[in-house]
Amino acid sequence: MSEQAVQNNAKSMASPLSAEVQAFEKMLPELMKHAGKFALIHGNTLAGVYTAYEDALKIGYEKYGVTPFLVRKIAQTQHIAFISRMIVPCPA
Amino acid sequence: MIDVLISVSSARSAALAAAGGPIPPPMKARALIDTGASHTCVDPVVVSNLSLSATGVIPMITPSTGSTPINCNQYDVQVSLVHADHTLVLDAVPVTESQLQQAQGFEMLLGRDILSKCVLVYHGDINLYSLSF
Repeated sequence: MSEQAVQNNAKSMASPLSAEVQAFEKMLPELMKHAGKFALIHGNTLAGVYTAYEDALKIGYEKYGVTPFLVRKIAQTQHIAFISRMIVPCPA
Repeated sequence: MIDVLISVSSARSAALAAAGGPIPPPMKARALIDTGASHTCVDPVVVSNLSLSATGVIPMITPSTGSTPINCNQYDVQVSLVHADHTLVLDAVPVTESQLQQAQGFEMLLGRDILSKCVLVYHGDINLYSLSF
């Protein structure tokens, strides 16, 4: 199974960031011109695109405090965390 | 296995201070070095003790998930590898939430994202490893 297919099959669960994740996926075709950078999303709104993860995080906390916001690298396929040890992930 | 200090990231600490809220003190944790982990994971007790809120979501595959990834929350934390002579402070490290403490007996799985900032040498012939930073 390809990484994209695996990713598409990822279980979708209610998460404090589900609105932000949906917004990111909707915006992704437009965001791809910034591939490799980091998107900052709050609710359904794109707050900015930043070169470094740390910069997006800093601006996110400055703008939104400790309310939920999403920082995600802009890429056609999202990285998957592979853990070879038998651990149990906590679903979002 | 090594001891690490985990605290809120400096950006989150500043936001908490601006909001007039308490800043959770750093938490000492046991971490297992795992070259088979692409990303660093933390137990929910870390998330709870530091009152973290998610700033990311990542699909995760482990032997327990089969080939279907599970979406997991990610949190930004500051991780300090402490040694008597030198401390490596990594700010704003995204860590993924997984059950570790009850089943595995430690609070952090230290993955290759952090190991990539260090030099890890395994001396198999004398059953010793060294981690330099």
